[in-house]
Amino acid sequence: MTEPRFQAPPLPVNEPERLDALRSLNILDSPPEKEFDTLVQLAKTICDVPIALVSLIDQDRQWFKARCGIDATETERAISFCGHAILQKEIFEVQDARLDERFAENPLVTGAPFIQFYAGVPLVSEHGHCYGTLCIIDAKTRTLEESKRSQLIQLGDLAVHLMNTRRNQLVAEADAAMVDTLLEHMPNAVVACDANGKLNRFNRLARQWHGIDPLEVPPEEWAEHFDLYEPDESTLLPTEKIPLLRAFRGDAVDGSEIVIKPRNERPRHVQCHGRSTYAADGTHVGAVVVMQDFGALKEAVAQSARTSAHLKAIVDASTDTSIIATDKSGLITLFNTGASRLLGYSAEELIGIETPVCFHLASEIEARGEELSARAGRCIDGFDVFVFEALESSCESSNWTYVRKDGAHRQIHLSINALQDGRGEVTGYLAVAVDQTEQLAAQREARLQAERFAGAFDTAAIGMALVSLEGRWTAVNDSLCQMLGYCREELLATDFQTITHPEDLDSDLHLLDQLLAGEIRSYRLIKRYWHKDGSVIWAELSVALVRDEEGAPLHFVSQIRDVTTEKQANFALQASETRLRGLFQLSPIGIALNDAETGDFLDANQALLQQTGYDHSEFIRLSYWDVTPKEYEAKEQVALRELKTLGRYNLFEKEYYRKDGSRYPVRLQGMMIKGIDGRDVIWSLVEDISELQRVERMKADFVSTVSHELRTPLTSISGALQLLSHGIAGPVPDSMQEMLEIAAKNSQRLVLLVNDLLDIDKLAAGKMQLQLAGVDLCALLEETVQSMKAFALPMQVEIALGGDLEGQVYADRARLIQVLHNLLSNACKASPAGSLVELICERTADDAVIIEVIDRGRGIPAAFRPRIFQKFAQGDERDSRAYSGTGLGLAISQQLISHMGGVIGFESMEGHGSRFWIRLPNHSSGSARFRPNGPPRVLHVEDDADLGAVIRTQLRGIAEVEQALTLQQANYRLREKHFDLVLLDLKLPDGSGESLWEVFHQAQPDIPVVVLSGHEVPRALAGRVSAVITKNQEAGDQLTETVRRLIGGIGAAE
Amino acid sequence: MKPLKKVLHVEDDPSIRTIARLAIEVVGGLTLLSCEDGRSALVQVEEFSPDLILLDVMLPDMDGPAILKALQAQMDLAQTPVLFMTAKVHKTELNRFQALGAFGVIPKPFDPMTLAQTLREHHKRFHSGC
Repeated sequence: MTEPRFQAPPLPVNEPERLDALRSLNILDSPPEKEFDTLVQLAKTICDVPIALVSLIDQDRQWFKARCGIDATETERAISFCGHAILQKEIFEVQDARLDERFAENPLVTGAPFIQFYAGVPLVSEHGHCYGTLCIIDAKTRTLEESKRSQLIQLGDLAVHLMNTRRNQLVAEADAAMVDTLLEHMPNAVVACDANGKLNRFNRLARQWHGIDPLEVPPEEWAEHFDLYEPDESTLLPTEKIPLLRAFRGDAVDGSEIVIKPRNERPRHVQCHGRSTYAADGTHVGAVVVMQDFGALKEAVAQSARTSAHLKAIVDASTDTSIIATDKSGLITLFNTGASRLLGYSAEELIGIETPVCFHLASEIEARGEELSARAGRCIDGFDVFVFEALESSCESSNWTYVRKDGAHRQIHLSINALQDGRGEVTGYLAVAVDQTEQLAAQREARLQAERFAGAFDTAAIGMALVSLEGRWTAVNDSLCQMLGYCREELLATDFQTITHPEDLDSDLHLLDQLLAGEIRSYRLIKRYWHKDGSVIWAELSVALVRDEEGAPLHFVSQIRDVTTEKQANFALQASETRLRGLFQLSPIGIALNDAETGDFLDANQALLQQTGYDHSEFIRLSYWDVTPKEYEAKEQVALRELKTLGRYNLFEKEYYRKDGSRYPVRLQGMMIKGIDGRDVIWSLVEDISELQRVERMKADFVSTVSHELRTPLTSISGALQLLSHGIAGPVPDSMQEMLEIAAKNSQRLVLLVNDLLDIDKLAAGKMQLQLAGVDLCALLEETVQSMKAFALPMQVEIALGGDLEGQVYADRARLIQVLHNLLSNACKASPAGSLVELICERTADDAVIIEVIDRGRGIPAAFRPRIFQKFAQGDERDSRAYSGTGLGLAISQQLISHMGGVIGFESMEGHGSRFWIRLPNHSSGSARFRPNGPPRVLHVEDDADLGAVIRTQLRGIAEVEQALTLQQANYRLREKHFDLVLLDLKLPDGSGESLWEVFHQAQPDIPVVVLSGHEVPRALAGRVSAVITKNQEAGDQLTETVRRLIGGIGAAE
Repeated sequence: MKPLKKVLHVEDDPSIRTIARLAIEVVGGLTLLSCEDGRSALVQVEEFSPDLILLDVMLPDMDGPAILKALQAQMDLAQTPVLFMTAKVHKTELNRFQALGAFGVIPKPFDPMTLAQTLREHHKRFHSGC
């Protein structure tokens, strides 16, 4: 096949640029456009041809932007006529293609549309690039007339213009779209209006902020419509202040603040920038305003302010850390509370006035300065010393000494930071100081302690050792070596396991394991070691574990104390305990242990259980009060009081309930001790005295029976003897008469004895009934003297009656006479022949009656005095033989007087005689024992008048104190009146207070006696008086306390 | 008032009866009927018609108070004082005796030399209305 006879158009020289220019038109393959269609229509009509085209030459094709006369939209560039045309500067005209070499066999010529004529105007851009052509085609041969030719060229120019305009429009449209997108999505709100003031732009944020889409409203309604307010959030913005309006009117709006506050939304502060807009030719086309959310900005500013305030607060509140800021020169600009505390200066004293140099130790600054100067090779001193390194590395820490305002030194750790601004310029310094004085002191102390420990370790009196985790002794002190009998080297060569008694090893190792496991911090153990000599050493071992900083065990520290002796003592104690336990259990007397607080029984022995009928478990569930009948509560309270004050309670009798509800009499005695757990417990001895009482009763009955039974034969004997000696049974020879009289006298004595026995019996049994009444004193005493005359006569003793005999005494007449008989007969018997026995009666200030019987006999031996009122007491054997007495007289007398509410007492001086006295009340209402009214009375027997005055002062308000300087005075006072308490010194000018006590206690056993002495008080006496107080500085409180307690009941009565 | 002449004495102890007989008859010069128990006394009392009756308190079978009660039931004692003779001189006992109708008590042991005189004094007091 032969090549068709035509030529493909060659490429222009600027083909690539031409193609770029063409493509930049963005026109290829675009839809038909009216302007271009009109253009080709015009060309076709003007030139009167069937076909007209706007053909654009693409890389490989010609594409028709507009066409008429053909249907094809493009053809190959190779067969195109236009491809040739674009190479021309002028119109390219082919009059008969069949004749042209380049086209003769072109398919467009040889085939449809059978081109014969072609004319194309190149479409050339302003830059000389040819896009294509405006061409006309005819299937007939033609020649283009000149007029049509120039018209075609003009149409070509128009086509180029159309293409350029089209291109420019496209660019403008793209720009506008971009600007729209930009405006729509920009982070500021944008509003704009056109030249008429009509709103034409309202971007997304603006819509969002205003809450509505823009509507066409006149400017004067904008504020209301768009919810615009003044920054105060409440005043509607005046129209003339609306930024867009201002901008529209030509104002430059720069940062004016308004508030957008749509209904039901929070107000938004916005900052507005606005300008009028002008077209390129300077015409006013509208205005635009850009709004920025000022609230967010404000919030950020506030946030920053808050952060700064927060930091300031932290600085101020740092009371333990000193924070000081300075400016670049060192002048203090900030001085916080911590700094004030540390340094003692106030912020006002320093800020803006001083540099930190003023509270640093000058010597330290100098030393540091020298050091730094040497390093830096220039002089560094003063404030620069602190900041030199901070400047180099921006932060520096070191230890310094601060000098407080008061001169005290504090060791501190100081960190200095250089403060820099945004550009890295140093603006000042921040010094943060932490006081470590205490910490350093503690470290020093710890070091010292370690040293001391080392010293103590070596010299400790108890054994000490460091023991490795395996048990090896790693350090031992002398005491331990000595205790265990090894020398140091021997001990260090062994381990503790080896010398531990096998029976104690397991428990020791177990504790060590617990220690290592951290379950316990230390332990203590009584264990046994083997002494080198093979003996057993009991030791108290205390072990602690030393750990390193990470907590890993390092070694044990052991303290080992030899407790062998204690242990032995303990064994002895245990043995003793066992023995005592045995005693407790086997004791025939009941023993109980009570809780002092609750009265609960804690323990009871077999004897007590037997008495009460309970078993042990039942009994220890009981309280003391469960076994005590109600009526004994008062007695119990007394015992409890004694327990509290004396730590023991004295014998008293009461009853206990048995389990079966019956009662039995017991005698109790006990003491209070501290139990192991610190509770007060009471040990009580509980003696079942029912048997004892039965025997007592039997004895009393026996005495009573025997005495009665004796009377019957006595009646006969004495009667018979009387009758005989009086010759009733016939005359009696003189030799027999004397014998008869002896028999008669002794039978009389027997009768008296029996009478006395019966009296004692009655008194003891409480069966003595007295007929107390006012008795005429004078008659009674005279009768007594009269009836005693016969008795006194044989002894050649005269009885003299004297004193104040007026009035009455309140007594049992017969029994008072009996007592006086007894006293008088004793006096007569003691008196030497020819002496006088006086019976004297007196009245006291209290209106009591004192009857005294005074003799001038031998006196009563001191040794006998304490026993004088006891039954069967007799001065000595001689007496009882020489004078017929029963030894019961004074015992009976004392009891009788006591029953009459009186007191009996005596004084006696050996070789000079005795004085017995009776004090009796003179009327029924009173009693000589208890004074009717007034404060309690205390007799203070003390020869030191000054001390007496002190005591009197101390007891003021508690009791009325009378002082007796001598025993004699004391006796006189005690005889005179009743005292509620006697304070007794033992050393007195005329004898010992002890003797006074003996007698006094005999006469008035109910009245408490307190020994107040500067000397050792005899144990026997101390145990029997109510209290003993030693004269010393502390005696005051103790005394008032004791007196208050002993006479408490009386004081309370007032 | 007729003087005291006849005394009835009841006492179980023979020695005391003897002493009393000597004291009352020999020392006192009075007529005495001495009985060893209440029964015989009650049998003989009306025939003897004593001016004063002296009763021991502690007696077997019938004691002093019982005898007194029986006597009161048996005869009129308006003119005859009854005295008890006892070793018990408790006030309460004395009151009891008085309540029973006894006029007085002679304590044992008694003085035989003065017993008769004491009885006369009681008798005299009884009749003088003291």
